Amino acid sequence: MAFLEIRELEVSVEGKKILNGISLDIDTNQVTALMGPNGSGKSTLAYALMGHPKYKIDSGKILINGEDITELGPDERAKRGLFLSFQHPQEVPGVSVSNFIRTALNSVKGKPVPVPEFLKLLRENMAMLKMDPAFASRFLNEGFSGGEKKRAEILQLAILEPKIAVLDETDSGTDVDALRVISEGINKVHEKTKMGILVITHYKRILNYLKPDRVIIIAKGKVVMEGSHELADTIETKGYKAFGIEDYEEAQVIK
Amino acid sequence: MIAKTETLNTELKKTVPRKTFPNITEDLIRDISKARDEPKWLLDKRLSALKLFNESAMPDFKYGITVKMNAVELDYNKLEVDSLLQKKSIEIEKKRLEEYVKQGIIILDFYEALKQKKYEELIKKYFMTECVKAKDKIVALHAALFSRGLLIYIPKGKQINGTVEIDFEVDNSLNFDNILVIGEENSKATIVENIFAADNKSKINNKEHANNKNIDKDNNNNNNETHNLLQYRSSVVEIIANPSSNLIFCSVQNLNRETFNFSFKTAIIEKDAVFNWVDACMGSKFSHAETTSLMKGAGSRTNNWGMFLADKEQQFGIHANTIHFTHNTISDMLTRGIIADKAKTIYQGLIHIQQPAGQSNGYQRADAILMSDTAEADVIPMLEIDNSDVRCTHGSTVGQIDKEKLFYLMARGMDEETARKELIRGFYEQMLARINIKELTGILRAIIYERLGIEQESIINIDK
Repeated sequence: MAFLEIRELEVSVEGKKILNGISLDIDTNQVTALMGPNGSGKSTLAYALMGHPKYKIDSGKILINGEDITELGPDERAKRGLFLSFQHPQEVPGVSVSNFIRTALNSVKGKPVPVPEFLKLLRENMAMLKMDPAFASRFLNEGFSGGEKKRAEILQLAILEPKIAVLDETDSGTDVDALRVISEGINKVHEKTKMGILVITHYKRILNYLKPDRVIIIAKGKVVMEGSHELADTIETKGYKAFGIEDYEEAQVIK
Repeated sequence: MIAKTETLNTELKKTVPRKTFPNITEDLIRDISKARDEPKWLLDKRLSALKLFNESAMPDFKYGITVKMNAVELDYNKLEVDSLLQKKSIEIEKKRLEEYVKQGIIILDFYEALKQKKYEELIKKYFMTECVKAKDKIVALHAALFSRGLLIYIPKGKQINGTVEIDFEVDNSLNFDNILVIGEENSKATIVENIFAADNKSKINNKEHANNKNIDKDNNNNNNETHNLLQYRSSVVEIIANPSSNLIFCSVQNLNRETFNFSFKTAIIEKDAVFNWVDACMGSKFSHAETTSLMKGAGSRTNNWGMFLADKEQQFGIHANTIHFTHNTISDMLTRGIIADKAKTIYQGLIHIQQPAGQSNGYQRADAILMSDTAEADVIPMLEIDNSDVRCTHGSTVGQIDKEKLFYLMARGMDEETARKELIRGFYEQMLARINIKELTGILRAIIYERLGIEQESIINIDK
């Protein structure tokens, strides 16, 4: 039994069906890349897994550690070890990076972590992600560059230590150097915690660092192909069309 | 026809609220003045204010668009006016006062100040002048009955670092408080006025707020004793920002939930002066709070920062006005409020750029967040522009907490209540960071965190 089981998941957004019965097992200590053309439902899957209220689960189930969590709120899912690194993280004005992460950590752990212990965790992980210590007192994501936002997401990941991390286009908006630092950070957390990773991406670049055990392709809200690391190379050079998969013109549902 | 008209007149008489009250008389005012040994000009000022009070109609507070304020319990027959005969003064902690004096700032009780010719002249010149022009019944009542006052005088060129803190401990009866601040040329000072209920035994501060959990219980006990009387606080603050002065006046109002609160704050801002308001409306049963910046001198600047937090059945009318009288003046108004439970608030903001005020900028923004389906808020920004060579913008929002932000926080493990609190905390913290006055931040945090049920100790400051 995998830690995260997705069973025949059908999801619609504002009445429009996006996922058409996705089944996927994601286990701890395993790196899965999820690829697919625009509009195929990658981000929808990420949001549905995390329990966004706008993403209505029409049928199917999500199980964490054998427990059906389909009806649970996002906070309960986070407490059970699920983490989503957002493609476009929200700004949280007036709440500093340090206070935000501390409240999150206390919530996930279900008890307050002593301040000195927390500060140590924060400093170590910020150093790992090559972040300026002054960053901790800035308001979360407010006025952050694309790369800074992604670093802040991975900082949260590193401190919260989930069982499964869904990384929704963590590579978008980052330059080459930032992507390397972020990816190395993810790998360190992975090595330390043996978390499972579902990495959603359009590009091979991040996969060169994260080295997925397998690559899953989805189209029209269904899994259409599964392969090894090389599948990502083929897609990068030849495109989805080589596999008979059409790129959708329609805009992605998630902004 | 005649009969009809008569009926109409009778009906009108019935519906028009009474203007005079048997307890508020000329004799009373003479006695109040006598108890304070006032100069004749001051008594005359009181008496002319009484005339204005008797002649003007009761305000109906119907300035909202969708929100209807309800002030039926505001009955001046229930004012315990006899308590005004007793002379009171505004206490400032001796140690603090000595510190201010050492820095060269002059802080005097009105009646002490009146004994000195120089200060009497200043008081005579500025006391209850601009704000009375509004011919408002409630301001007129204040001018007739004012009971204690403070003069804060910052001499020419005197630059005060740190803040001057004034505590107003307001008891359950009747209070008509005045502050007159005169900043002479090139002076600089930040004044923080902390208004809290006397039954809120210990002064709200960073450390003690946790001990104040029985406030509601205490209030109820007091109500039983005084339920026939109106708890009423009226406050007038007048600021004279002389050329090139740099003054900030912050007010934190945290009165008990039985008090009707009226505050009228006016600043005259002269050439090249910078003056900022910070007005935080937190307590009281019913508040009508006005802050007005009169930009009389070219090159002057003003910020008006407002914050409010209304819950249960509180009703707040917040009014921020900036009048640009002359050219090259810059104003910025920013107000944020949270409305919860069955509270009602109306924010009205006015920028008036007069014809001679070319090359001026006016900006205003007001945001209100509703925390429940039963909370009500109107946000009404207004612009009046009589000169085309100006820049002026305004924006406002009334809405719920952003659902995407809420999801983001919950995806990090915070339950909905914690996530909401964090977002509200941030909403205010962002303002506090912008205003950046340490003492003010401390006082306001204590109040906001207590109301939201956040342990202040749970917030860490990484900079330390």
